[in-house]
Amino acid sequence: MLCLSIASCVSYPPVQPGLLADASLYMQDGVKAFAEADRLRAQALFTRALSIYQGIDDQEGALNSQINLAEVALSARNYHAARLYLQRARAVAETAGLQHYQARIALLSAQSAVQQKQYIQAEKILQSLLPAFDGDMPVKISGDIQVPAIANRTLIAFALKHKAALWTRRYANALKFPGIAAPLLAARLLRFNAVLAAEQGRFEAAEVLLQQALAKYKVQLSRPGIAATLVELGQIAMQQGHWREAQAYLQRAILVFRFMDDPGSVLFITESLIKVEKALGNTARSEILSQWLAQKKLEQAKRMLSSQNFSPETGLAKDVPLP
Amino acid sequence: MNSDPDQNAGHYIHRINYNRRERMVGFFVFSALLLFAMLLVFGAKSQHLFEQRAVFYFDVQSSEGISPGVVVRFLGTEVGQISDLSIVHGRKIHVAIEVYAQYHDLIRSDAKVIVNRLVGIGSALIEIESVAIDAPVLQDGATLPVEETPSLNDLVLGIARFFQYADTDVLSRFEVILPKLERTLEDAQRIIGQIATGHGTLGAAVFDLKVEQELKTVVLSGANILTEAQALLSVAEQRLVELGPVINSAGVAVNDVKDASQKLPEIMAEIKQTIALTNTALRLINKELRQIPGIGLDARRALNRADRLLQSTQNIWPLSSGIEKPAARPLIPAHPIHD
Repeated sequence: MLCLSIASCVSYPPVQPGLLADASLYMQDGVKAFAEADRLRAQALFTRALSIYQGIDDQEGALNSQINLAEVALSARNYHAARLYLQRARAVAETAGLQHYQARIALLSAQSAVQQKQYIQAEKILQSLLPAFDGDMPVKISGDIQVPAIANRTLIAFALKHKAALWTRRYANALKFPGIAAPLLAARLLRFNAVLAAEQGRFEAAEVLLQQALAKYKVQLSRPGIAATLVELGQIAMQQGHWREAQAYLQRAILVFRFMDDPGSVLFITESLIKVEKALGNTARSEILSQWLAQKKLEQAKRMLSSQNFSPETGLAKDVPLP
Repeated sequence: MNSDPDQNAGHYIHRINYNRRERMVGFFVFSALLLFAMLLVFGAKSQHLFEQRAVFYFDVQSSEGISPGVVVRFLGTEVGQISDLSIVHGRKIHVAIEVYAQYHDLIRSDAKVIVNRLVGIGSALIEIESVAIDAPVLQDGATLPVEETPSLNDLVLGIARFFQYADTDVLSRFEVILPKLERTLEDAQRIIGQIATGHGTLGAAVFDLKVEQELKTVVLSGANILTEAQALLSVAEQRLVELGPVINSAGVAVNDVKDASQKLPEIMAEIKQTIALTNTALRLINKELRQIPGIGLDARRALNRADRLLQSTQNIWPLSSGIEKPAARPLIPAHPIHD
């Protein structure tokens, strides 16, 4: 009787075609893999989903896949691949009438420009995404694009050393809007405030803010956030002359970047680590690191030169996977 | 309570009317009980729970692949199972099989047990073979003769041992003849070199007595060596031809290697046994291998059905309320740059 009564509670499942269900699963798994900083797996899953969507002419699915692949490429600092994916996504959005995705594509284009230190170009792209401001208060926040756009604009302000405090306040006010609260966005604000505090010479306050940001990133298991915060903590320690602390933070950051397979960041931090080792009097270690760094930079330069060669058959760079 | 005086006569149970709802509930309960009882009956029948059984025995050299519960078949049909194993004197395993009563008549006095260990790794196929239909039915408790195959592991070891013996004999003879060939070729090269460097004209080099004598010696010894090498090559070729059937499950070994004659009878016996077993093994394995593509398709179909079943199960309340409906085309959430 129990079995019969339970069976009566069954409703017919919504029948989703097998292919669409597969593609949807690939996308979900890819999003999870990206959140875990497993880029290779994320790229493989998104590529599979893209081929399925293209095979059934699901334009929106293909567009979402292209956007996700662009995210993966940007996290790997493969700007050429990211540009190609974004171009294809833009073309699909235009032809399929999915204009509401253009804002997301523009955000990623701006992110690519910021990461390549093309701040003026990034500022131009972000201009169309930012909300209107009344002083340092946004008039209205709509969608999920505007707050990251404000955050990226704040980063540009710090890089150009122009109105960084104003943009930090604008970002903080944007986070106060209802429905915007997200731990990662809040952690980013803490880091901005920490940089402001460090610029004003308040290193202890900066360190406290960064520790709070690190705790938030660890709760969310955001490896890029953890790594970036450790680097900033190392830099604060260097500015204060706390070389042991700086050494520990930078080594921890290198371990996280190595896990994420981000050799560019590892090289960047190694340069700082060499300075720290010299300050600590570890001459032998700093020389070994310098030699290793020089060798890795040479290898990286060779790889970049070879990846500049386009395949004449596809018109794509050789390191860009075909969908 | 009914206050009508006419209705109050007699026991109240005779005045109760069952309405429609009560009848439905009763029918529902009765149907459920009936279904449960049928389930029990069919289950007991399929598991042979209350069925009489006849016990037979057989002895094997190894219990590999045999364990209590292993199914016993007759012409592909399940007729019983292994019930017990025990080690007896004489380094044998005494195995008891229980045959269901309905199949007892199939087991005649000429019945034998075939234990096939080549069908899979770790499990054996146990079949009872009985051909004569007019022979008397075998009594309960009888011991059956048995034919057992070795396992795949034993087969591979046998073939490896054969190759170990064969290789050393052929190769050692080649090791003797090759240096002689090399010397002959060196002599011929030297003579050709003398002619090429112009020691006399070509005709003088050919008709020079010393050269002629040297040539004759070389040619003679070379001819002898080549004859010997040819004989050996024919032996080796024959050996290769005979090795071929062993690999392809056919043929027997050579009989003209005098040095190996001491080991030959032993090798011959082993080769014959190995070939026979290999033939059996390949025949049986081929039959199983042909099933693999079908098994793969069946497995894929089963997985798809299991997936649909899981999806349906997830829609059963209260499971469905705990499971979040995933987005159709999920996007990585928009986020600021972390650098």
